[in-house]
Amino acid sequence: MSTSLGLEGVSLRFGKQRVLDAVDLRVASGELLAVLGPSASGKTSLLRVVLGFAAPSAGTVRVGERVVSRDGHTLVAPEDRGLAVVFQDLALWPHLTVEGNLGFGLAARGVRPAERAKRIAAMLQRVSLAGSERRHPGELSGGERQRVAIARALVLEPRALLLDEPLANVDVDLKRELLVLLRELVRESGATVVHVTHDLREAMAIAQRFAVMEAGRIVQQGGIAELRGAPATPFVRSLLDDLDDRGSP
Amino acid sequence: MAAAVGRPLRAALRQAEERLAILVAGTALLVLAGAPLVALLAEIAAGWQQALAVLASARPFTLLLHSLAIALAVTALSLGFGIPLGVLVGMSDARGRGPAVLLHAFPVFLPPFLLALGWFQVLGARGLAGSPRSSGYLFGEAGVVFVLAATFTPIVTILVAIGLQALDPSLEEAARVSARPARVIARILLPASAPAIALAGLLVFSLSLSELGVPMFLRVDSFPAAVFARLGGVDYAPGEAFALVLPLVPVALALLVLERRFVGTRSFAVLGLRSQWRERLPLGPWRGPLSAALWLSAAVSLTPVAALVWRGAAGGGFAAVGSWLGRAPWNSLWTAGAGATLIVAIGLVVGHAVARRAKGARALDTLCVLSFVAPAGVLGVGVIAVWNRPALQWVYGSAWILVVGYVAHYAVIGVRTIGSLLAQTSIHIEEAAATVGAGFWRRMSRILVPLHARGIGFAWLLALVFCLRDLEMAVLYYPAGGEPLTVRLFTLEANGPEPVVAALAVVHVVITAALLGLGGFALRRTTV
Repeated sequence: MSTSLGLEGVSLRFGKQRVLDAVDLRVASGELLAVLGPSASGKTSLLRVVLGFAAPSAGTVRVGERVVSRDGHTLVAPEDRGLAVVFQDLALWPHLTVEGNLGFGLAARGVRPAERAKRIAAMLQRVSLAGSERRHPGELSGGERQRVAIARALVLEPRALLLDEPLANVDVDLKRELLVLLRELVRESGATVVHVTHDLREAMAIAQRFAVMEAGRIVQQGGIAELRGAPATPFVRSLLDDLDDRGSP
Repeated sequence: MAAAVGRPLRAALRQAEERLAILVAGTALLVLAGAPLVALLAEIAAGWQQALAVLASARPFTLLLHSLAIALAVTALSLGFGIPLGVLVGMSDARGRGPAVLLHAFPVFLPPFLLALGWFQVLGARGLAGSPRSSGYLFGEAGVVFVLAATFTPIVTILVAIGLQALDPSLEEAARVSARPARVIARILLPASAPAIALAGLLVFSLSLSELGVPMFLRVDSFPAAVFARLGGVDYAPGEAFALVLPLVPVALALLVLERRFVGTRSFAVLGLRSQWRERLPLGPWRGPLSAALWLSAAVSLTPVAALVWRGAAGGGFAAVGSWLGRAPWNSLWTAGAGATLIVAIGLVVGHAVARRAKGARALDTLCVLSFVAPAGVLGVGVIAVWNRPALQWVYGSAWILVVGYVAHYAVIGVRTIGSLLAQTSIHIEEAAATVGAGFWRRMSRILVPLHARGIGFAWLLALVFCLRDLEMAVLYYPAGGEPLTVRLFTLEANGPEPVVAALAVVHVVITAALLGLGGFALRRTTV
């Protein structure tokens, strides 16, 4: 299977602080990977390097076969990487309508208006927001905003979808509902997904493989059975213990 | 027994502390800012026959249109230059943007009239780069628009830069995964910071419309000059002045409506969960030329100041300046200091009430905005109408009348600056203090003020500098012997020796720069 995203020896420093430390990670096309880790472990920084918002101090980042960043240089701009992201705070553009939020990226990528309208309508239908085209983010409920953010990312038909803890601030019932929707949408689209979270239950609802980060390093990678078989660190063990206590999703 | 009575009384007073504070601050605002506007309308109503006679001619209206056209042109130019500069400063990796924007912004803190004096030393017939042709342009509408736009453009630059930096970086990054930087700026960032741009436009328009010194110096007819002429100039007729400001009242109300519609307390929910750290937009091959453009704007800002220094030095103005200064710098400093302190005190109470949406707070905020956007002539004439009475001569006949005018005109600085600071503070911080028994004043003095010491200090400094640069209000009613430095400069300009006037202007620049420098240094050292 071809590689969709690849990081080779990626390090990132802010002054003297080492945020990422020689990270090696490959995500195959269509693979669903979850990146787990405690706060300040470097998960979000990893996404920012992949997206092109931070250049790695050392190492190489690939999207598909292209080297997009290398050794302190951003070689391919974020907008040319073919990626999409859902942030923790969703980052819906408050002055644009739902339709405007979905249409912005399509227009920027040169999709013709007729095709744009078709794709937006289909996506809104899919996330049960048909009829909300003219509403602004401020007029939506929390769950609706989440769905707009997911729809805005997927309508671009990205090479890979990056999720930066988008469900961190929603209640249990809504999280369950959104996880089901997200899983279905991801399967339908066939997109590669990198899902950053600190919640193993949430990760298991979408991902097939897991990479656990601590202090800027990937300390363990593999399926859930491999993690269970030989937890590499106390943090991995605590994740599994917590899962056992609360039960599988 | 006394203790038994005292305890409930203290408890009751503590419960009422906040309402009492709002009552006192609100009353102060009503007296200082509200009463002049009401008194002005009462004077006009009482002398309606004279008002009709004054307004029967076309002259006031053509003059008003003329002033409106100049203010619009200044606003358009300032937005045209200020928005791109704000983007460069707020978003890009332009070289040396920090020092460049400090130099670019400095003229905002000076009286525009002083900068007109400087440009005269550059472009006047005998100026450093002047000729009869350049002098012809300077002494005309084009000159007024140029000087005011050069002075006020930094307002747009700063507000746009602040507006852009206040946006959650995720909004930008979510757009950048699919669009080029120019498109992200045009379609996402600038529209999302529209309230900041609207505020900048309103500020520039209001200040331009109120401007008295620049059009008078450059011999261009303007509405504020006509009002001033009837209060202290060759056409002395105070009754006509009241009538003359009448057409400005709807203008002030229109500005208030625009402020409520496009700025007000409207703010998009753009402050997200992430820290405000962001990557700056790389300018790539344009970095050199655009950095040069930013530094060129700084050079334009400093040119008139440099010309004043040159003129003061070349003509021996600095040697003679001591005998011309009088008490003007001291008058400026103490009245501006007192004004800024009152503005911040009122701002703490009313700004807090606005941030917490207390009853009546919105009305007080509206009053502050109205008294700021109202052309200075309107408010100034109203101040005269209220305070020029025999029983109030102890205020009107002293320099305290300057303080009254400063608070009336610039109270909005304290209310809005401190209000926005407090609005960003979780109400839980206050509620946690309240649950352990802290009343309003204790919460304010022990929690909120220390927490926002730097921001409140900044509000004080900003108010101080605005009071210090005021000419349009002060020139209408300054007391004998109590004139501030701006008025001293303005009155000397007509008949004082040119090098001395230039040297006096440099003294004003030095005082302002020293205050900003010291204030900035002190605030940088303020940590919470």
